[in-house]
Amino acid sequence: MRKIIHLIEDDRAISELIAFLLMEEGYDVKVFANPRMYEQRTHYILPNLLIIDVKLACNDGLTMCQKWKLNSSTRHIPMLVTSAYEGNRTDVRVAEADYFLSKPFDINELLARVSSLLS
Amino acid sequence: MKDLYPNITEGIFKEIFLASPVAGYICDQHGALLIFNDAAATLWGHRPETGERKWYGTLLVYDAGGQVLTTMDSSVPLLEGKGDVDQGAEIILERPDGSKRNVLVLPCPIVHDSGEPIATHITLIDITDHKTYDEKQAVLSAIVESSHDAIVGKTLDGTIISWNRGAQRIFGYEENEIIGKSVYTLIPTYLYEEEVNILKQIKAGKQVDHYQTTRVSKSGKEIPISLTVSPVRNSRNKIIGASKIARDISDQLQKEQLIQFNAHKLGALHAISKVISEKLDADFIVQTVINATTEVTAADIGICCYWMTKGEGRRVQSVAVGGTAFNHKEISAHSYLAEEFLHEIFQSRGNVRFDDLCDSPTVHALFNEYRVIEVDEIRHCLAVPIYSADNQLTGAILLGYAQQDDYQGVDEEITRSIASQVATALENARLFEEVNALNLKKNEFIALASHELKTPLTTVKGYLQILERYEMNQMMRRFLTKALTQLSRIEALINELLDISKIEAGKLSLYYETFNIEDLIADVVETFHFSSQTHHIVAHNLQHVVVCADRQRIEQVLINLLSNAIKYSPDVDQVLVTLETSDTHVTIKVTDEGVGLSSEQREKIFTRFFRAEGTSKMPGLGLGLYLSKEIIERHGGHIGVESEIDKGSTFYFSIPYAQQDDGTVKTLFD
Repeated sequence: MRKIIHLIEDDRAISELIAFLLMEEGYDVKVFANPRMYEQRTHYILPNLLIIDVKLACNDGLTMCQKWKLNSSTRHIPMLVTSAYEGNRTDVRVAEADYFLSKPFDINELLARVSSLLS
Repeated sequence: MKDLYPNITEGIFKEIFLASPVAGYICDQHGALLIFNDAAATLWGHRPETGERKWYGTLLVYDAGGQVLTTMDSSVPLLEGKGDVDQGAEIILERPDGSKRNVLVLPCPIVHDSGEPIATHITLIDITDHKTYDEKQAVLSAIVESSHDAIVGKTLDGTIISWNRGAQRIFGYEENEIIGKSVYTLIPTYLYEEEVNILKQIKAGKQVDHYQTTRVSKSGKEIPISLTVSPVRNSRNKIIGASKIARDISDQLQKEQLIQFNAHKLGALHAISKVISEKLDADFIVQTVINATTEVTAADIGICCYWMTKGEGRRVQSVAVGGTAFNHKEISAHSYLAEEFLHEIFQSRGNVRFDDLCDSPTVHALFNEYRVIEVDEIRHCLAVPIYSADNQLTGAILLGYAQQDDYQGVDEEITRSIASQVATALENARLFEEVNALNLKKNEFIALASHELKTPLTTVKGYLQILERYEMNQMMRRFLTKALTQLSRIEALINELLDISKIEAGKLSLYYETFNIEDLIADVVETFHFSSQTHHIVAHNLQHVVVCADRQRIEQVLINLLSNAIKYSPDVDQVLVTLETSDTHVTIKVTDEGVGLSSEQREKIFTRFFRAEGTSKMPGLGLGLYLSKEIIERHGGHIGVESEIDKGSTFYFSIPYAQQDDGTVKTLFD
């Protein structure tokens, strides 16, 4: 059974990169541009891992994380937060995300982290 | 002799002669000494042989003018000592020991029954002591008389008994109109008590020295004087009166007051300059200036209104009020002066005097707004314009006075110089605000730009790393590695810029965690082992040390120190890392045997953008050590360097095991 990963990332180049990498590894990857669009998605299969990008002046991503962690049906789903903003590291802790990866990241680290979060 | 002088050598007369306290002797008609008494011997200073000396008991005799008298000269008056002879001529005798005595000579011829003079009886009166005393008296009275100070003698009950010319000059009374009067004539009624005390002191034998007080002259004018009063004693040491020396110190006092006043002014001006050069907060400066200005100009109330150009070109008026008559109420908006009004006032561009504020209701109302009700109404105003460097009217200082005298006496020159200083200060404050705003924008921009740069960087790095996974020939792999290395440099530079903008904005947040510093050093050393082809890092004294700190930041500092050590020691192949511990701190030292630093460089090396001389070819922005210092200091630690030119450097940093700015350990979620 292929593991499902949902990726929320608004930068097209990065989402393509990550999706390519993860699909190469054999994961089932679905990409969404932002949390709003993710919440409006039509099929409700829950992912095995959520990768979400967090912007500077936009808390949508973190709000979603918090919501998921409070919901008993989604609480168990690991969340990996990426951000170009180092300052978001602390906020990510507050939002109880499972891991923070700052951009630009090392793809090997990304893959290692994804794999460990999924095991 | 018995035959010749039966009356003298016998009986009581001889006794009287010999015992007399007055020097006396008898010579024969040739001047030979026949007899002398003890008093004469004392006067002469020796006992001459009788029959030998000519006329006098001493060898040397002078006239009163000091000319030596011969025996002949000196004998004449004695021999002819009758009638017209100068009875009581003054001569000087010199004793064998050289001392001289002034004497009066009183010769008296002894005449034989036949009428022939047969001898002379001479009496000598020693006037030496009297003479010295007279001379002294003459000198003393001359001194007293010529003294510029008043010298007054008074009895113990305060009656004036002597009065010199100085006293006449100072107090205006002639000697004949004041002698016999009471000393209270000279004392203002409210100071009578003082004289009672002075007399009390004098009676007790004490002197009153340089006592500053006030006396009244004949014309009724009060004169400040410095007084010295001493007891006067008679020859039996009994106090019989007092001598009083009074010096007129009006001039001195006036000068002192002037000096004091000027010193005060200078002090206030200095305070103004100081605050203007040190502070950049316009409101604070203006408040300080108006406080000092009202003081210096003796104004009852001072109002300074000024315009500041805030962001987007808005002109905002501020008002500062000071002075003793200021009621310290809130400054209300409706009391602000209209800009047009000030332009109208200062049409002449100079200071403007409002001699009577009744003619100027706007200004009058302004002062009334801030005046304490109890004090006198402000009637006069000096208005001083404040012009900016580009000659724009940017404000005004209004000094309000209740008293005409204070208003007339104000030094306008000073107010003008203060106004120009205020203008400069306001300009500085405005520029400072502008710089601050721009700096803030700059930091925001750097932060934003850095983040924006990171996004494409992520993609490039990602794709290059993907390429790396594929089979390729050696050349392609070498190029790819080069590209990735350069990419890391870009990443490092962006991170440095970001950190700086965070530090400047005070937003560098530390992410505390507990970790073993030994592991951190080992990790970093291993990274360098792979990345550095030229140097190997030798770790020394590694041990298990757990600290609570921002691991990533500490790692950043260590990497920075190691990179520098490698960069600046091109001729050696080794860098040493040492771990040391104390009770409270852990210290990491990075030692190289490279080019070293001069003392001047050591001082500046932790400042922003500092690059060691001759190192312009080295990559980097010169921010690494500045950042490291900030990071270590934010941990409550210390960073430093010991170095010698051509010998190498040791950079070190210490951090507490677990310490934060507020002295507590930061937990994960606070």
